[in-house]
Amino acid sequence: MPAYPFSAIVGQEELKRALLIVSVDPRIGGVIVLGDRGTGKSTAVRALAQLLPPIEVVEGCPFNCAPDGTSCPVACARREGEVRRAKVPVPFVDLPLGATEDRVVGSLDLERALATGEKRFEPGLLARAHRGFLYVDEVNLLEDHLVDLLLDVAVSGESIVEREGLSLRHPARFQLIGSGNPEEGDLRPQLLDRFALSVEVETPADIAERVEIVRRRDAFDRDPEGFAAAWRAEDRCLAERIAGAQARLDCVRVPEQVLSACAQLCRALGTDGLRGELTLMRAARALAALDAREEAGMADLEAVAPMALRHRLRKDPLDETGSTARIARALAGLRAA
Amino acid sequence: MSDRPDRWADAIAAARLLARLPFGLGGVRLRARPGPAREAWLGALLENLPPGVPVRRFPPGADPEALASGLDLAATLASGRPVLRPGLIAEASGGLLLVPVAERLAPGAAAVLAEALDAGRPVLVVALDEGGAEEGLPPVLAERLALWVDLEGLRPGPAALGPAGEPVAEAEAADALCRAAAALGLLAPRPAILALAAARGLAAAAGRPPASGDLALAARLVLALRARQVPEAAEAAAADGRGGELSPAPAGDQPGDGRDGQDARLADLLVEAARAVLPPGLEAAVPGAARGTAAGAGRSRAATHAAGRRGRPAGVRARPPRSGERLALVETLRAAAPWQPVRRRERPSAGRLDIRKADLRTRRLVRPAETSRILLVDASGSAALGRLAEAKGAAALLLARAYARRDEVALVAFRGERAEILLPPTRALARARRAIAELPGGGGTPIAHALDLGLQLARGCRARGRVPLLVLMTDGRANVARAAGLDPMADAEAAAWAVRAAGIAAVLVDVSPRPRAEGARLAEALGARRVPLPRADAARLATAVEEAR
Repeated sequence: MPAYPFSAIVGQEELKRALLIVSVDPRIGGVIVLGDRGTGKSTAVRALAQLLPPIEVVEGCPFNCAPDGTSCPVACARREGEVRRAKVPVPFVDLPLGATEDRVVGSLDLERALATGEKRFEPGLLARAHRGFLYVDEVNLLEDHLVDLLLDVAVSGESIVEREGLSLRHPARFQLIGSGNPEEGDLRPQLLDRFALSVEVETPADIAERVEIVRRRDAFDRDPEGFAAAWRAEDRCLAERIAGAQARLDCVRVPEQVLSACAQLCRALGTDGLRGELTLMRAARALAALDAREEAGMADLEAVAPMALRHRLRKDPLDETGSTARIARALAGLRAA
Repeated sequence: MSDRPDRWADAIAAARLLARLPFGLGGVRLRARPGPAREAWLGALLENLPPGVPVRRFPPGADPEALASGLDLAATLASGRPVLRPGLIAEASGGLLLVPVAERLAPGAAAVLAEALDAGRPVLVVALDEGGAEEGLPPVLAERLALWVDLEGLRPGPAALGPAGEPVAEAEAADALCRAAAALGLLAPRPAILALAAARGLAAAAGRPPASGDLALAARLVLALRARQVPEAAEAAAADGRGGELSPAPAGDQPGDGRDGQDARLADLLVEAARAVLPPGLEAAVPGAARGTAAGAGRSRAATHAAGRRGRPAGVRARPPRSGERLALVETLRAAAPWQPVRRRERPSAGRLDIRKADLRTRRLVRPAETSRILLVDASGSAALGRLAEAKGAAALLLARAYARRDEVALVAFRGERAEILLPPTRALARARRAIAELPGGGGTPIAHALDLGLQLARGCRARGRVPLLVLMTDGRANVARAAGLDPMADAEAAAWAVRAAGIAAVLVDVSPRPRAEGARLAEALGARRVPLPRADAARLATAVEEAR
């Protein structure tokens, strides 16, 4: 069954924009999506994975190795003879709540060990997500040590396995997408700001929008193939836009004025560390690339500022004033200056 | 408006609908205790199933791994070679998966089922929710099951089909269901999507295009028990369009705004249909407070999380388990596996799998001592007069500290005749904050009641492996006893002794304007440190509580 087409998603502009930005520049880092249940968070992420162009891998490599890659722990690309290439869809891996560390990191291949006494590593979800997406629904309810582990790997791009007498490292570069409902348990602040972008999904307030969502979903459920076909052209357009932006990304300039605005904005908001500024700059550049422009401008910065900074603000956890409002104020100050 | 709907007939209609295997609906959450009603309902479901449809049970307490395909450990050990077994989801494919005692379903298992439904696997989950459990069916699964049926208080009987009603055009149906969902406080699109699919399934079962009767039945089966707010009476909303006041949605969303008269009338009809079977208690709940409690989403989830918290697995030890410890079976096998070929040669008689003592591994869990702070806040007249606002401020500050430390917080308020749990232990700060802000004041000071309730919560926390800390915020002037004729103050002290005897740490935050003897006596009985609430210095108070741990 095909996934719901990305272009058919009604509303959720900020979520869609954040997802497009990280697909253009995977170096930006993960996205945390906060919002109510049943608002289409997982639908959007799944749709994106399907939208992206297939990747080329070494056939049969459990780590989704690129054919020219050299970092594969089983050295699949350098085995004797020629490498068989295969195109596979961008991996999309669900990390279920309650998954054990074994499943996430991987462990000794028990079948192989029992049958032949051979000590072989059975890759976990981190390896399967390499070059794709790792989606954690309800990341706020995941055990803290697992979240720590995920973020570590997501930032370093590498998983180091030291267990059961196995010792190896394998590449695990993936986009970590977490989602959760803050009403049901807050995420530790230390974890929050390790996600690059943060999106607040709102339930659509407009009845017409809700009706449209329901209609499209209903049409999709009744005829997934037909519905996907009807949106294929638009999805393809979007896929081309992403591919174009990826190619163009390194040529997009970020002028001095925008860089200094990034710094000023972060100082005005009192965000700690350089991560905020770096994310701002990269996200603005990716957005400019998406719109096929050669230079990132102030408009790009303003468009990405809320999602890049709202989870980094120091805040009194009891202060109801929204972070988004504070960012808007700081932006207005920046414009006035 | 139709007559009060026959809930038993509705339930049977749901069973018949499920028996047609509408996989897009995900399944049913059946709230019922075991008994004749549940048996009759399951009978109606099973006898209407087409022959040969698989029906599997996911036994309570089974390992979530049984759901997905994997290695059959027992068979593997017996035969000495890997034996794969299909998971329950695969076995139930094209049929039903019954989940008894669903309210105790582990979050991990619920997530696996939810993922299977999301991926469009052809299986219907029949979650038999017996209620009563603190945890409840994990929302991640519950929200994906279209039909919510409650058999509480029903007896099996004849089930007549409801009236078909007027035919409804496709476009109208979606619109009306969205409006009805909004009026019930369901703003996320999923409930309306599921309701539309259910209405279509009901119409197909009756062999006709969707009619208003199908939509009304779908609203009762899908939307009613999910309701988060009591809809305004349709007439009132239509008359002056003020339906938006109670709902978080703008007023324009309400059925009364008359963008399209036909749709609005149909939506009203659906709201009325759902209202007739609204869960008991929702009517009484304050509209604001109904948020989150109606569907039990927030509360039950927070509790599940807490209940599911085990120690953090900190690897295994290479030694046999001692009493009370658990053998790490998989690790043991892993340790033994590489040696099997050698050992077979060495001792061919030992059987297929030769495990020796040196292979045994013990599971090691590290459980950080997590605190549950139980705030008992005096909202009586005497406290309200002076410093309720300050006490609220201090409570809010304690919450902020608890948040930073990832502690749980529970909130008990006492005033008038009794104490009341405003918030069971949770880590969701937003809800605690709201509960404190909305706390009203006035009435007597039932300290003994509050301590009883606090003790009960503290015992619960301790049973879940947490360290409870009672924070009693009061002026100490008890004037309501647990039973008539008792001296309220002596009674409060007796309750305090019970807390102390249970070995539960406590802090007394004295909110009286001047230090009084009552507060000191109460602190003495509790074995608690007494912290006078210094005016306008809530920060020092939070520090004092911090130190008292």
